[in-house]
Amino acid sequence: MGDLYLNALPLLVASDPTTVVGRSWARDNGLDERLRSSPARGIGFDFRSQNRDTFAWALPGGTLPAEVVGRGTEVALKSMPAFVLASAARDGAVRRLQAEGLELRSDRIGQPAQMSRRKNNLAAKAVKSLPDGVGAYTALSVQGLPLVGDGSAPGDVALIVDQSVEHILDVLLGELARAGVDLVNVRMHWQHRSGCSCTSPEAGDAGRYLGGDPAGVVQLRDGGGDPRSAPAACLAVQANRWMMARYLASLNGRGERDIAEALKQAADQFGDTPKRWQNLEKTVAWLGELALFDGVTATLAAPLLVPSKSNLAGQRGPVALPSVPEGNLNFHYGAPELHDNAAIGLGRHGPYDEGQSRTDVLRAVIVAPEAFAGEARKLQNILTRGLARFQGVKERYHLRDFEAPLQLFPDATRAGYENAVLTASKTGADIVFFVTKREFRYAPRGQNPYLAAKAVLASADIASQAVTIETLAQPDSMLQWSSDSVALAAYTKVGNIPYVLHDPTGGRELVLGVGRADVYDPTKRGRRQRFGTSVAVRQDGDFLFAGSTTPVSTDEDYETHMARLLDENIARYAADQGAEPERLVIYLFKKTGRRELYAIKKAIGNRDIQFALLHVNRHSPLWLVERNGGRIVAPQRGTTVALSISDRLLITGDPRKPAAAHPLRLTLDNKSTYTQMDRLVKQAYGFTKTSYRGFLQSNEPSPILFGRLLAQKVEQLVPYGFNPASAAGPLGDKPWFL
Amino acid sequence: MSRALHPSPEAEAAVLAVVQRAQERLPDRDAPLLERLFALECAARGGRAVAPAVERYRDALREAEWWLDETWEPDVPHAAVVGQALSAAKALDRTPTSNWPALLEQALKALERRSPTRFGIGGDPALLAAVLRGLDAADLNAPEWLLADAAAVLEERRSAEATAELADALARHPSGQTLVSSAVSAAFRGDDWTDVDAPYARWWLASRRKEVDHHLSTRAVDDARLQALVAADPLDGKAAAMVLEAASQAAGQLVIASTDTLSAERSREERRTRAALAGYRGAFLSALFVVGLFVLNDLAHALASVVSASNEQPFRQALAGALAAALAFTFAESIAGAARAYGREQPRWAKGVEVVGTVVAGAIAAAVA
Repeated sequence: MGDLYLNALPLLVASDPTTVVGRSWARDNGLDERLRSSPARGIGFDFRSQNRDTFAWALPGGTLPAEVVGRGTEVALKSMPAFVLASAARDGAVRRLQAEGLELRSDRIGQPAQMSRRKNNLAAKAVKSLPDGVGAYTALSVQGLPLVGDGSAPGDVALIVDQSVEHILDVLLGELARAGVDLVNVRMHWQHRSGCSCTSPEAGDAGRYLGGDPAGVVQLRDGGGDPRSAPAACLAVQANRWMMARYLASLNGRGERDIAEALKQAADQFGDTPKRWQNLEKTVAWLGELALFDGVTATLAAPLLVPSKSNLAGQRGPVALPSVPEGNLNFHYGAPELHDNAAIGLGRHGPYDEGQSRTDVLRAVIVAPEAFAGEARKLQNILTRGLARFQGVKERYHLRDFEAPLQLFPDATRAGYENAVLTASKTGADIVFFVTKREFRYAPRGQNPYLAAKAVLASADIASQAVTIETLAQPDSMLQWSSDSVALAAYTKVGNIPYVLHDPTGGRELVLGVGRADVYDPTKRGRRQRFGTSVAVRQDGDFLFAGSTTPVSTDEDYETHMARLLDENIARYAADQGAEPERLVIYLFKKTGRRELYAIKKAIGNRDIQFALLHVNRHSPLWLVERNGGRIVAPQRGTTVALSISDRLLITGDPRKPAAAHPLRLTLDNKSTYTQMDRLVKQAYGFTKTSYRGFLQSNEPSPILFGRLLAQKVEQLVPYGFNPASAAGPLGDKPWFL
Repeated sequence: MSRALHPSPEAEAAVLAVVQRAQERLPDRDAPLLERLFALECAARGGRAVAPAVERYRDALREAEWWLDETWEPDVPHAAVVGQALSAAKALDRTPTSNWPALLEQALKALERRSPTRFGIGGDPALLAAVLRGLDAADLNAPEWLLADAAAVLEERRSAEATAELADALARHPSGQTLVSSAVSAAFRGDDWTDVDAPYARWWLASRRKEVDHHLSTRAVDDARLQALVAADPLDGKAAAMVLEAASQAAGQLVIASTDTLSAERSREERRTRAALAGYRGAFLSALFVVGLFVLNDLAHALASVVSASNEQPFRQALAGALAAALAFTFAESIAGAARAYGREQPRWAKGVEVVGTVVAGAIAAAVA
């Protein structure tokens, strides 16, 4: 194993540590509000509040506002908390990059600052004759990182520099609308054009598109604020690959899917780990000197070498801990038969619930339009007789019987699919397979046959599994693996259990994963965060999926809902297991805060239950590489770096795939009463093996993945008549949303 | 004295081949502890022929000791292991760790508090069987709820292997006797599904428990044995352990012979029996007649008194003649009966001799009297 490096550039501050750089006072929310709205903020001064203190400082060439000049006490550079220094470093880097011509696209506190740079158009390699203003460019994001703890004490700081691909679609909104690009709920940023009449041109984020005239004035809303009007001519979309593909397809007549695939390939090539690392090293030299405070500058050192240690005693910065051992999967209830590889273990031992009460005569129906009859027959053959190493559903899962008759219908339309699957759902089938094509994903809102069929079957409480003709057109060498994954998902969706995460020494534990989907609510004409929860319980040494909930919006009394959810699950656990859980582990999609704590404490009450509140962040700008001489690769799965005692980076991606170097960041809320971080990391890693969407590991733990998929699926199906309450009712005990 | 049937070399070879094949399929080192403990118990019950298998699995008992000590939780896997470990220790005539019965009771109390869910001790016949065997080994009664769960699971379609285990375990408990019949039926229910190890399980069940004998016809047991002998290798480690036990017990007992040989052997046995019966019958009757001759005077006196005759001599002569004739006839018929048992019909001259001999014996006796 080589040396581990983090894309964090340690800050080397050149100034005298006793230099006074700002002031500090007891936090005053009213003052915070006034400072936040001051026009001089970010130009002449800046401030940050954390816990009970506020720190303010003058920016290079600027001054503090008169209101705070004599407030509190002076703070010297050496006494400034690391989180302030990290903030100043981030802002210094942003100013430096802006001076180099990069554009600030997003600048939210606590988030990486997103910088856009239109130099290397990756899309030009994928699509010929790109119009002006259209491309996929490399972008930078920067963020400060205290190297020890949460940064509340003075200490060393590093600057995280990440690179990504940014899709640029500087096209008038009216033109995009004419090309069929769906603008509703798309995030916009200001893009003032020459001749713009805006009196005070804003920059950066503008909010999400609500409606209006794309050629005139449009309605926007930012966060939970009120809707506002803005001239469409001064806005541009924050584009993505699919949006760009649709626009380009409208221009050159090439298939939308082809363009989207080509753009993806170009982006994946950029995501090549060694190349990205070389770019990072060049960026260090390029950033040069950063102005942090008035009269205080710093330079950046080479990317941080992460030392390996076996524990965190005397930690002074990020530390590479021993890799998380491969979690074992169990393939036999009651008398564990273990393997760390799902596909091999299943072949060797059979499914977990074999010999238990399960659906062992699996009745499926394959539904397909007549146009896909050939593909449907191929699917039928594969499922019943197998293909190459895939032995067929009956053999693979040791079923007593498996049948899959074929039902064809004439029209590959939404109505055609709906009628056909409705008929199939009345045949007493356990699962309906239906054959679609990938293009359906580009269907206009409300006209997607795939989602329509899914909604009908979900409403009828019948499991469903879609298979595209493109999947079935793969060569057999690949199709055998796809078929294996399709069968795995099907086996799981009917409520059977192929394998589970084995945890022989865990105690009575209840795990909840809360995932999020960002959705547009046409009734409220606004964006909502809908979250869904999946529950796993530890029983007899194994973690079992124990159900899902009705996804609800975060706007709807989030704390109360969370508290009720926890309370219900604790009660259900106690009833099922004959004793209350000893421990609650909650994976959360967002940074943990007082709302979650309130919910947990309310649910636990006086009961003797420990809890761990874990933020699972899959969008951290941090990434890791392993260097062995001149060879740079993504680290192996299970590689763990401790940023602090309660903050870990965990590699979960396949090192051979793009973005494998990006770890999950697991941050334990400091109010948690269960703090065995090593165990929590190991458990989270183990859960990456039980996604059941395929035999490969997922990048995130299954409870939070399930929560997100649940919220997403419900949101997708609601426009097709699906009632979200069904998600927790008849469907609640099966992972139907996979 | 009948001639003993000795195992033919073919029989020895067939049974030992099954034992050998079973040994190859026994649970390996990575198999669940529960399975290895079961294999240990089967090997211990299998006798001398599989003594090496006992040594192979003896470590499982030590591992169980460690595992129960270090990882104890009152849950299903631990309850099953402690139950099976108790049963294996008993099969080995070994004193188990002293706290195991208490642990088993503790686990069962905790499991009783659980709601019936899809996964639990009551939903799995093999796990139920392990616990019931343990309770028997520890001289503990099976709780009612466990038997109720056993009754419920027997209603479901489960593998012959698991059901055979349950039948065996239930048969050990007086309170489980009512369920044995349905458990045995379930184990012997024909099912050609993936249950390829069913013949082994059935043979094992039939060979292990005398209590289940009256629930099974000889034909069913013979069929199970025959199917097990000709079946492919066992797929499952537990089935291998079962066949190891059943086959090693059968080694030295089974005979393989052609139908002609078997038929001839059976005919010989039958003839011996019939000849012996003729001999016993003759001896009994002869004894009666001899006694009659010894008390001839008393019999003649009694007969004369009945008819109020004053002279007893004619009665004495008639009785002596009749008894002597009957004695002679019985002797001759016994010899003839034995000859017929061996397939030799009495020749006519012998019949004549028999008649003449009878008459002469009667006349002489009457004259002498």
